[in-house]
Amino acid sequence: MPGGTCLACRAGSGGGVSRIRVVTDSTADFDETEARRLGVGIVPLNVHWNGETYQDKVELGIDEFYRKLREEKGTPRTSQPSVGQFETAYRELLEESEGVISIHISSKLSGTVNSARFAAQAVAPERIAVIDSLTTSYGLGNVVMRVARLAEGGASLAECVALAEELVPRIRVVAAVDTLEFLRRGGRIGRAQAFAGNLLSIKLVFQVFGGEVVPVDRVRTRASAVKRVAEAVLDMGEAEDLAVLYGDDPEPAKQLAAILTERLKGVGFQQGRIGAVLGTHTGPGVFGVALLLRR
Amino acid sequence: MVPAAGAGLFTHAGGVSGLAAEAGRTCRESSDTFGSPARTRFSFSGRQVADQDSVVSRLRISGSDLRQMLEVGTALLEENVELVNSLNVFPVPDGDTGTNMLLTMRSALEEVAKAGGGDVGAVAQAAAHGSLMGARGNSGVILSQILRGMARFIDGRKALDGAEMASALREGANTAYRGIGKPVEGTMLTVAREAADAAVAASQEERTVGQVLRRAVEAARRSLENTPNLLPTLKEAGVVDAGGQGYLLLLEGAYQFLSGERAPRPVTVLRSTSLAPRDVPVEKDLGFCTELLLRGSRLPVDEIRRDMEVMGSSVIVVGDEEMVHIHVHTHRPGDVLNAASRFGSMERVKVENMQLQHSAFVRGLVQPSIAPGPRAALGVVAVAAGPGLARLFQDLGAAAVVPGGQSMNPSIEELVHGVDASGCSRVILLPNNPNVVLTAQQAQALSRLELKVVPTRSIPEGIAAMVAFNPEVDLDSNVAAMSKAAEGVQSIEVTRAVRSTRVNGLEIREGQAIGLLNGVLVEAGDSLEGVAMGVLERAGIAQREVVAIYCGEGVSIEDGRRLARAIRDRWDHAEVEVVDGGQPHYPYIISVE
Repeated sequence: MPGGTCLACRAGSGGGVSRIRVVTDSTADFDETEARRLGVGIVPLNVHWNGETYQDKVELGIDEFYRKLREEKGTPRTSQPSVGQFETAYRELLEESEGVISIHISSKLSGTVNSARFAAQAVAPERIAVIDSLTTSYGLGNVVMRVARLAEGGASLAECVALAEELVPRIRVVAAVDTLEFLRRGGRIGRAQAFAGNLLSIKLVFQVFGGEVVPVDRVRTRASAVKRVAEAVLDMGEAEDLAVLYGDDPEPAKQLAAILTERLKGVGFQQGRIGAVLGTHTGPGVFGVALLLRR
Repeated sequence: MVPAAGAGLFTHAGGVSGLAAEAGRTCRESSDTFGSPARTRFSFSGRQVADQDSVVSRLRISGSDLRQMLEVGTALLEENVELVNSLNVFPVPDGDTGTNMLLTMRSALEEVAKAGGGDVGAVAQAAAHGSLMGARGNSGVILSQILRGMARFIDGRKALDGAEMASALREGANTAYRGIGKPVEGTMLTVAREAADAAVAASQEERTVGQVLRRAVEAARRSLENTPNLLPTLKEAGVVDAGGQGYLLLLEGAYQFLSGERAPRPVTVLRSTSLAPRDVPVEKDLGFCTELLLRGSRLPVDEIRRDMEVMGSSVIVVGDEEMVHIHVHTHRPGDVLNAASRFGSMERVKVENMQLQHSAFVRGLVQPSIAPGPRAALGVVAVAAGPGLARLFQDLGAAAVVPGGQSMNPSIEELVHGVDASGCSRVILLPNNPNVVLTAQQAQALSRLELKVVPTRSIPEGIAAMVAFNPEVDLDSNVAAMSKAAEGVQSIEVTRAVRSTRVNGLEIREGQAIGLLNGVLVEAGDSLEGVAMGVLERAGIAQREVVAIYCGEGVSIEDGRRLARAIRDRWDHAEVEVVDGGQPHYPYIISVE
């Protein structure tokens, strides 16, 4: 979409004028159907590759991204949506709603939240709340969906913000990458850099904690990585629901899911894929879990 | 009795080599004689042991006598160090029992020389202390324990008679046994014990210290010859125990002094005998340009020069009794500084790495790699030989790397220094070699810092442990995780046999490629790579994921890459990486996880 207007905005909300609309960015992962039904607005980040620029998920789908990563040369890079993209999205949504809650990828991983904040300031600061989710992918998606469901029920902006703020600290993401190259190149490696080491075969297990990549452990084999992620998840405390995710290789995620479904009965389970923007920073071998801890 | 398979066991010059071969090796033709005691030549000078009536009839020995006994013992050991080194059960190139024991004794003698005289108690004390700090390898540690026990008994005495000498030997043996968690018979311990028992028995009848010691020597020899009957691996390999042989040499030398057969050479000459540094790659490392100014009083310039000459090249030592300027090109600047500091106080110390691409790898303990920033509370110190391996450990987060040193085995003192110099207050030590585990545990006992040892027995175990290290977690949790990680890895070492022998049912020809799996020799063949593939198969690579090949001296990275390709071709699920380790003795060290 030229000009980068947000996705679901066109689809409109369920019925009539809604009180509050929810906006997020393309790093959020969730059930697309439900998101559309709830009218969640999605502002895409950009993926730059070999001179081309693609809007994440709009112009570059997940399968296509990983195919390119396997087959093409060059290094993809990502960038946040522009302030203008947010301004456009907010203006459109505010025509048919009282307020907007805009929930985004951790400020420590991306500047998206900054673009959103500037746009909110410019458009209607008292009607737009911008939330830093301190996470991404399904972690972010989970917060977005729960807030969207609350909003569908007619909650006020304040109530939506309260829910979002209550959920954010309960989100956990644990993942493993089979190479540190992508994290390094993308600059999000953070503390894991010192921990990382140069042996090619090192796989890093990490959390997204406090909004950034925090190393949990380093292991040599994929089998150990799966075990370690499972251990980390089980150590975290009681989960209300969780999603098992992967980039391009479903195998480790399958093994991980098998272990977790065995150990965690009665927990809502989802499976999903990690999209282009995150995939650029982790590499295709990434797999992990996003979960919401019980209150 | 000629040994069955003549193999280049050792190459020291002189007609005594054949005799030494006999005395040191099993004759497989007859199971119970290794040269019958009546005929075998005991002393390596080639002469029969002198009869009783030519023994200097000394009822008591003084401190000076004890010192000279230790000196001649060490000299005899030094002359036969290659023999002792070659008595390794596995025909691997880093057999170092002889070198370790020799270096331990040298350290003891240095301390004795520093003490500058005194009675037997003082000499014994000094020897024990010196050997403790300089102990290298398991054999060095055991030896230092023997000296310690002896010193404890001799403490406070001015002279020793025969009975006291015997008691000292017994106390030495007892202390050594106590110091080892799981004492094994058929080793230096057995020889020490049986020699001490014979000495005690002899002291009931004999009068002179020399006579008592002679009985001890005879018993030690019988004990040594019996070690293959106690340890099947010795028998199969056709060797006697290396540590026991070293100990016998020390006793024999001590006796040779008392019997008048041999006089000690001056101490300085002992120290300047150069031990071929087998671990120093001649064509590569240039080492460090080390310069300093030494201040003191009555500085012995000539002695300092002689000391420096064995530690490096391009030696310039000029000055007078109060100030000496020292300049040496050495691979071990730490040793140079340690040695110099014994004479006086050091100023204007300068150590420059002459080989810039190895700047990260510093031999000696002058510059541990401390990451910039505040002093880490918790860190890892690893023992590794080979610039690439050292870089790898540092890269994985080790606070310091201690190089093996001349015999690949650092001394207790070097480990303690390395730990101190790491800049950490809590340290995990990785020995990475079965022959360093004991020294590491001794270092643990001696260190002022909180020090724990994860007893890794190979480089792959060490690296696995290093990978499992997590600075965010406490010391004990790290020790547990690192130990577990080390256990999970299969270690493979591939090299060439230094002699022909028979091990684990395998007939091995000198020069053949041999492969060890977790420290046990399992394969022999013609090519290093072929043997590597064979051991990989045994290591269960089919069920494993990750292989790392560390290339050392004798092969190139290209060779390593070729091997990696062969591995991937045969087991296509495996992730194989090649690292330039630069380690000596083992062209390929391979980890499988």
